[in-house]
Amino acid sequence: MRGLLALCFVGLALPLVPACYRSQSRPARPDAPAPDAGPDDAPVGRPDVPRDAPLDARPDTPLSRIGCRSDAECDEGLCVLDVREAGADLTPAPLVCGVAGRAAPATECEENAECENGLCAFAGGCVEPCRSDADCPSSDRCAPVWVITGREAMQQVSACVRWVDAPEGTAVVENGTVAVTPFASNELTLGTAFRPRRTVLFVAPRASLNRTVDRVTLDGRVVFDVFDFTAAANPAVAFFDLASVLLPNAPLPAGANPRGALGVALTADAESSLRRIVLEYDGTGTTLDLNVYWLGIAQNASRRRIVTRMTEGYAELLASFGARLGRIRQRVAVGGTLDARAIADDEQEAAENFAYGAGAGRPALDVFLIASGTTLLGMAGGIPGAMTMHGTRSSGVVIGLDDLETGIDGGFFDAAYPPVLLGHEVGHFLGLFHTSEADGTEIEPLGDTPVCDASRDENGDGLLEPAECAGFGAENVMFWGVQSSDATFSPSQRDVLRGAAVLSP
Amino acid sequence: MIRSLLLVVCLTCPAIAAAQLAPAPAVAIDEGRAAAIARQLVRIEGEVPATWVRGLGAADRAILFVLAEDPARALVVRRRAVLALRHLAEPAVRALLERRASDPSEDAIVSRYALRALALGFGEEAFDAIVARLGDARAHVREGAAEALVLADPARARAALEGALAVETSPFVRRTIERLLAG
Repeated sequence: MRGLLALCFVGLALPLVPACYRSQSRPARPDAPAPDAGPDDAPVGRPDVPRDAPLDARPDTPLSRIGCRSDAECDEGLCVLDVREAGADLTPAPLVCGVAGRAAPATECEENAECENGLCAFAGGCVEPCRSDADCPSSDRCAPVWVITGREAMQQVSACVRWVDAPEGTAVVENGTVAVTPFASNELTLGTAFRPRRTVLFVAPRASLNRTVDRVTLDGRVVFDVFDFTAAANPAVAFFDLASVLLPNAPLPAGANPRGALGVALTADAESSLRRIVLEYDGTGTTLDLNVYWLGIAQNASRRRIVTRMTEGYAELLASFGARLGRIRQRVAVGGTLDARAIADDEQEAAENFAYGAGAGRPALDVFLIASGTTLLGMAGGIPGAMTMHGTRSSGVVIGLDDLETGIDGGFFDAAYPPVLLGHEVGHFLGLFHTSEADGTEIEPLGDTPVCDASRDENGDGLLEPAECAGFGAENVMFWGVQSSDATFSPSQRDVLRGAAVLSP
Repeated sequence: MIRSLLLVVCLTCPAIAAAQLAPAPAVAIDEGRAAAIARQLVRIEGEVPATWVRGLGAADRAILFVLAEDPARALVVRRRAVLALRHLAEPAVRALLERRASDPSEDAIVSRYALRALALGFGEEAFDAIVARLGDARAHVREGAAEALVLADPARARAALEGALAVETSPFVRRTIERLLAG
């Protein structure tokens, strides 16, 4: 059988050989990402493809004319990208029953032709098309995924993507649906004690709706209450359509039972069923892998230098809390996507960029590069963000690279500033709040971070500028308006960062 | 045809247009204070509050104008200054924003943010100025104009967007207009 399969793939077989279709069977999904295929920071792109040739143009590829949207609709073969029709930028990807590559879904990939379904997600993993969640394994959801289909074309397909790409050392304790009453506060008891070094709870949506974390309890004791935000021992926020809670993100309150039951009260709009994912992280991880997406801004030499400086400098910040930067995988968007994602008019639009990480298929943190945002130089998908989850509206950080570049060129930023910006946003994503806010209020509960309160507002303009907060937090990476290139983390902050469930051993 | 005739007949138009688009004359400002204001504008996250902008004194407001228009300033500062100006509902602000939006030599993002500031700061009063930018040569400005129209006057935006869609050639701008029309 393997021999017959080989014939199908090397193109010796005639088109539309039924045996080729029947011989296709879905191998087991890999539990771990594929080994590195290239240099750590090599941009992917498609250097082997002639610039005037459509991608994946393989005249020997056996494809039918039978349209499909999932494998279940194909009596023979799988539901694969129709390379004959593909290449219309920003349109749905055409799918037909047929045969493509060999790599199973969730395997890392560089090109569509490698994948069983002929679909290599922009985010870098093979994906299988679907109509709904019912077409996917229980560990997956059916989500929009972008695929590069031509030199200047990216097309969208609905595909199965894993809810969680957890690194070694992080256990998925729960991954299922939970019934909730819409527009009411729902008490959700986690099926776990407060056992590991860090527990992360995610409650993810099925649609783009708002949700709010109302209250977090440990053994019946309230450690966060949205109506008493400043008194929180373990503050929680919900960004966009996904609520995420990191517990603990500060020392436990006196008298709290560190092995007590955890509870979260949550309000969601108009939904009666939510996906609840609970991760337990054992704290053994030291390595942070990054997926860097050039999504809304084209590469050039100057920008590559800034990004290199950003990641190299960030590696030094990681080292300050005993972690290291692992593999950096870069993905480069093409065609109209570069324009369509260039500018974020608001935070919601910025969060839409995170959808392009769907199908990454490996436990890495997603960093999206765009040109500019009206309300951001950088933004994290949450505090914490959706660690280990790709493609949700809380999955990653976004950086306005053109704003950063023009700020450096114009002398506004120090050339050493980019790592601090990345460190600030990733700090949020991994669970850190600002040391104190622009008006001097304090949400963050850590005891060793300086506070710059309203009494330091020397010019009385209501905003605490870095100069007014010198010695009172301005030198901290998580200062609300950090501009110091020498900014650092406090020991407690480092402890929270070390608890990030996205770190691999 | 009429447009062609106008172009031929109006020999002085280029000079008039250039004068209208040119930044306001440079004024001497306190550079130390300008740096402080710029630092407030270029936040990592979020925008400078409206109350802060409205609380600026005359000298600081003059600095904000310079930060928005002076081509020697860092673009990131100019972009944020243009956005911040929307909180000052003054004729001079509107004129500045219209200049920045329509200057073909301006950074496209500055122009786009000027359109957003016009829409948010001046609403339907700015509608016609925004509509004019649907024909801008820069695709990002056209897209920004489409977005801004809906912010400025949703009721009148539909007809303008339908007209724009009929002639728009950029796939990503078309996509945005289609999304806006779909509501």
